Amino acid sequence: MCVLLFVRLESEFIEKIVGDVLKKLHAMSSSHPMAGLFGIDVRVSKVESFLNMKSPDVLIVGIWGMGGIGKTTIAEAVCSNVRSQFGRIFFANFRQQSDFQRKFLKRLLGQETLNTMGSLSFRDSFVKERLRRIKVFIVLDDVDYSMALEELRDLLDGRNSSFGPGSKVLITSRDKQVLRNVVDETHEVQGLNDEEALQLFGSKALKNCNPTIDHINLIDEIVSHVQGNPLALKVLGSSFYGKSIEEWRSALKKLAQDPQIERVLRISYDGLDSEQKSIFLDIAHFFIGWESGKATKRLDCLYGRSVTFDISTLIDKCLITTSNDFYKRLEMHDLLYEMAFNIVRAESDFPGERSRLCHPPDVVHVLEENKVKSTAINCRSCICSKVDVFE
Amino acid sequence: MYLNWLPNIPLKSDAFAMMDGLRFLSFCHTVDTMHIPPTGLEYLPNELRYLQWNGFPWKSLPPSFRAEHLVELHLSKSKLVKLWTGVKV
Repeated sequence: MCVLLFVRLESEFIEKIVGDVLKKLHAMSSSHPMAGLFGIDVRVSKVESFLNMKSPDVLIVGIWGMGGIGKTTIAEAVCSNVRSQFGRIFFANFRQQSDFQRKFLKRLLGQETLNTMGSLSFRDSFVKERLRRIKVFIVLDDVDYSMALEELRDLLDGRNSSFGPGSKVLITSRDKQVLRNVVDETHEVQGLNDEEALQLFGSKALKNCNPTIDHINLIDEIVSHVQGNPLALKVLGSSFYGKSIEEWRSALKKLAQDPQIERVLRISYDGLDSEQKSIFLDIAHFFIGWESGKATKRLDCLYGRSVTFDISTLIDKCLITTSNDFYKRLEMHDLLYEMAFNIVRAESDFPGERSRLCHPPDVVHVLEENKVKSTAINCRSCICSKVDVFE
Repeated sequence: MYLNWLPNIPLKSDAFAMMDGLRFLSFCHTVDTMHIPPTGLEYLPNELRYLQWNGFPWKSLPPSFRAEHLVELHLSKSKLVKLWTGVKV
């Protein structure tokens, strides 16, 4: 009996070692997430120098800049560089995250702890005691309201006694006010310089083709309009690919009228055919975070045909992306997501007349007042109230 | 869209009566937060292709629902006893 028990434990132990080694190997593997990103190295090293990796101080660094400028990308790159130096890593997107506290504790203390201890909160002395002993790297991504940090306020304020020595926290935000009074240093993300911008735009708009003089002149102008915003360059560049020089000129005119990034992204959306537009809106409203294959199957049913080609067009145009892992989950930049919502919201002042409903108060409104206006009866109304509470 | 709060949805039995074009319906939260009519739903649009309703609170789908276009049905944790009577084509 005793021997059997021992054998079981040993095998478990070995499994654990294998798991640990795999994790470390993964952290060391050099498949770099920064491949194909322009001008990221300088920005990443700047942030790393602010974080002062060798210092035992717990430091909080803010990454501040406009939407699409690359805050999240920089945070991800830093995270992947320093991964092996930390006991635990926690990366949370505030715009998409719910039930933040539980996920935070699950990640940092482990599921087993949560299972044994039941529900825990930041205020529990057990939690405080544990967190104080772990060297953690925390990324709070896309924090746009000061309120979002309220839950963490005590932990962040008493940073040096809240987390293990050498722990670091990165916070990204579009709003400098959010970072004020929280961070030790702020890195303001600048747009790409002209050369980087040209490279990025060219890599999307021309791929491997040789540019003509006309192309080069036009690219110069385009780049000056979007002020080095990588998302704008990528999306716009992708929508220019394969288009004639006249089409480039006409898009440039449109761009010159209103070079705000939202308008820039809209140019790419406007270039889609009507079903692709509709599929893009469906994805934004219903399928973010879904495995690409599963979402495609659902969309196939909704459209009564295969939408595989349309999905890959949207990916080619950088309007949606898929996660790098096995699942290939559908993702979308916040600005594009907001654009999709605004497009549907603009369809009508009355939620019942919009083609897609997602925002719970709107869903409630429509269900309460089921006297939908006559135009809405024919409209292809989709209702979705996806409320992710229990994961 | 992910939200961490739940709306109280006061659902009427004819809530979907005017939504003939509805094709995609997904309620992912539990039913406790929904005020439901005890008599059940009168109507679900026949155009529905995708129906997900976790914790569907009634014993059966509305009798008038023909499900002829339905491709996918998720009714986990529901109180469903019988989907429907007879054959749906």
